[in-house]
Parts: sequence; structure tokens; C-alpha cells
Amino acid sequence: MNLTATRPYLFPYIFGILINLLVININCYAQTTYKEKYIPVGAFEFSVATGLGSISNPIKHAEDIPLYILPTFSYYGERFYMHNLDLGYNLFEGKDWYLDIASSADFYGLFHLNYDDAKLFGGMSSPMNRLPQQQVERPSIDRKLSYLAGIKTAYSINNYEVEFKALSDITSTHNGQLYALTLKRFVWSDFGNLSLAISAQYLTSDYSAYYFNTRETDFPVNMGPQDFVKEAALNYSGQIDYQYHLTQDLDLIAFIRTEFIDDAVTEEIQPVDNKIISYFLGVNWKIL
Amino acid sequence: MNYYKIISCICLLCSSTLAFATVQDGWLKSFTLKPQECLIPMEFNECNINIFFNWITYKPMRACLFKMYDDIPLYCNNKKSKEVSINRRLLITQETIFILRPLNENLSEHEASLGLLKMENKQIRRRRKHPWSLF
Repeated sequence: MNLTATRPYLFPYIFGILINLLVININCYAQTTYKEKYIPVGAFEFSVATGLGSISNPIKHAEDIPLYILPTFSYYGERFYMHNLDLGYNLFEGKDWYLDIASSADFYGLFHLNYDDAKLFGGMSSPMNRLPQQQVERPSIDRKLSYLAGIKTAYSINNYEVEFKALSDITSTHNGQLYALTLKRFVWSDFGNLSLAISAQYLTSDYSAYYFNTRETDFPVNMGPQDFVKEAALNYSGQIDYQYHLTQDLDLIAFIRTEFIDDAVTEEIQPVDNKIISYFLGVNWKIL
Repeated sequence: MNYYKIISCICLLCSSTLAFATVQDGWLKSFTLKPQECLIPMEFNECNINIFFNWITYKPMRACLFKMYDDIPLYCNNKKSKEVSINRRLLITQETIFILRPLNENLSEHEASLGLLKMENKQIRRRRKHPWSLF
């Protein structure tokens, strides 16, 4: 399935459907569900999803990131929790809202991974994003993964959730910050579980310029006076997740996510595609 | 003497009948549901849960699954089979008993229960992501 070729036609429909699903009244269950929304303290879970998927790479001439195997592990203690590379410490959790100290791996750094870096994610996907040979004449773009930490809070009412997070780079990679506001809706039904989300992410100029623009240090020789753009970015994204219980231990899962990268970033020296499309369709095996 | 023979025959007949009933009543090898409890925070009163029912019989047969006090079955297998697996999403407000009733009325029905566990916030956590979420 080549989503790249169908992008211009696909996006308006995806976003239109998503926004409609977020607001219309769907005949579904509004109550809480066992192990879908809550988990006992001390529980450790491990699952492996196999299927077919991809994350499109917005960096020009770079390859998309294939997704074949997605291992997921999570642990929820009394206050500490982890979900893959996300770590958190709960400060407050009430009926409707929570406040956490949270941290997570940077998403945009994935697009600059080379083969050696990709080995770290060997279980997650196949080798990804090698810059092709014709890029020899291009500036040498070397970007590292970063890790972010900050606060995260969410408020839930019925099947809606509003989440806000403010994270800052703690690895001194770009010293930027990320602020994200997300609206989610959950739909539980006999035909499967749906999660719909729209989100706005604000990346400070240090952050966005590091991953989406060229820098002076990218060029082997002095390029002379140039405008190396360093602007903040406001990215929007929409995501649909679907889960259907096949058996007690097997789920059919699917997701599609589209992120629009701010034009302020994409029009500058280092051209990038202004969209990131991620999708996956597979079977998830709950091992623990 | 004749009375003795008659009484013996009646006893023999009764015991064989009882034995037959016992064998016939052991029609069900297993009847399970998963999960066996629904976990919700103390403040909530209801639980919407996806339950997997499974039953295995010694011989292929038809049976119906009921929620206790409901006259309409949740499921009946139309064809005779030795093993049935289904899942149903249900809304429960208290401990709920499910009944597996064979279509042959001479056989006994069997029960399995689903508990509703209300837990303090210290014992339960709200997930921050889907169990299989990448983002």
C-alpha cells in the first residue's frame, strides 16, 4: 500500500472523518472498561504486534521507516510508570485528571537515524533511513536523537480526554522545548475499540530548526553569509487507533496518523515534506 | 420370594437409572470466562467489558448462554459442537452470573461468575497510552 502516492487526496478525507468522529454522537458504551483504560498497580505487560506499516520520512531523499514488528512493554507502579521509552512519575491522580512528571524519546530524531542508530530499534523495525549516494554533494546532515522531560496532565470527562504536555530536551541535543495539546475520544463497541485524536504541537525554534533546517555546521566549508532559519513550528496531527479482540490474547490492531509540519519550517533551506504519515495494520499478541 | 426379586429388580433399575443420569449430567467438560473480574475505580458504578466465553462438552451438543435473570440468551450455538468460543461486550453493575443451559432439558445447567472489583486509586492506575500504542 503506497500511501505516499495518495497523500494529497487522502488527507482531507482523513481529517474530515476524524473531526466528524470526534464530535458526532456514536452509540457506544460510555463506561470504563477493564484493562482497556485501567490497570492494577504493579502490573507488567508485554506484547508483540506483527503486521505491515510505515512512517513516512519528511526529510527529502530519505527513506520511509518500515514497521513490521512492534514490541510494547509497560509497567505501572504506585506512582512510577513506563511505556516503552516513555517514563513517568505521577504527582496526582484523581477521578478525572492526573498530573505527571513525564519523559519520552523524541519522535523527529527518528528521521535522521542511520543504520547504526537503527540497530537500537532492531526489534521495532528494519534498518531505516540511509541517505542515498546522490546526497554526497548535499550538506552532511547529522542529527542525534534527543530525550525530553517535563510535565504532563490530562483531564477526562466521559469518553473524552484533553491532554497537555510541556517537555524540554534533557540531553543537550538541541535544548528545545515541546508543548502539545491533544483532544482524544474513545469509542468502545462490539465492533472494536476506537481512539480518535487531534493534536497541536508547538516546537520551539531550537527544536524545530535542529531537525528540519540546515545549520552552519552542516557544510564542510564556510558558505558565506546565509540565513540559517531558526523558527518555531506549530504542527498539527490527527490519529485514529483501532483495536478488535480476536481472542483473549490476540487483537487486530490498526492505526493511521498524519502530522502536518509547519510551513515556517518546510519552506526553508533544508526542504522537507510537510507531512508525516504513519500507519500500521497487524495482529497484537499479548504475551504478559 | 417373589417380592424380594421384584424389590431387587426395582433397586437395580433405580441404580442403573441414577448411574445413567450421572453420566448424562456430566456433559460439560469446562465452562470458563475471561476475565473473571472487572476492575474499576471506587467512584464508578458500571463496567463495560469484553468477555470471552468458552465451553467444552464431552459430546457435540447445543447449548445456550444466559445472563442470570435474563430470558433472552446471549448466545445459542445452532449446530452441535463440542467446543464453543464467543466474546460479548457487556455492561455490568454488580457481580454477574452467567448460565450455560443445554437444550436437552434433562441435563443440568452450569454457572460461572464475573466479579466487579472496585479499587482505590492507590490500587489502580489509568493508562497513559494504549497497551499497543506506538505514539
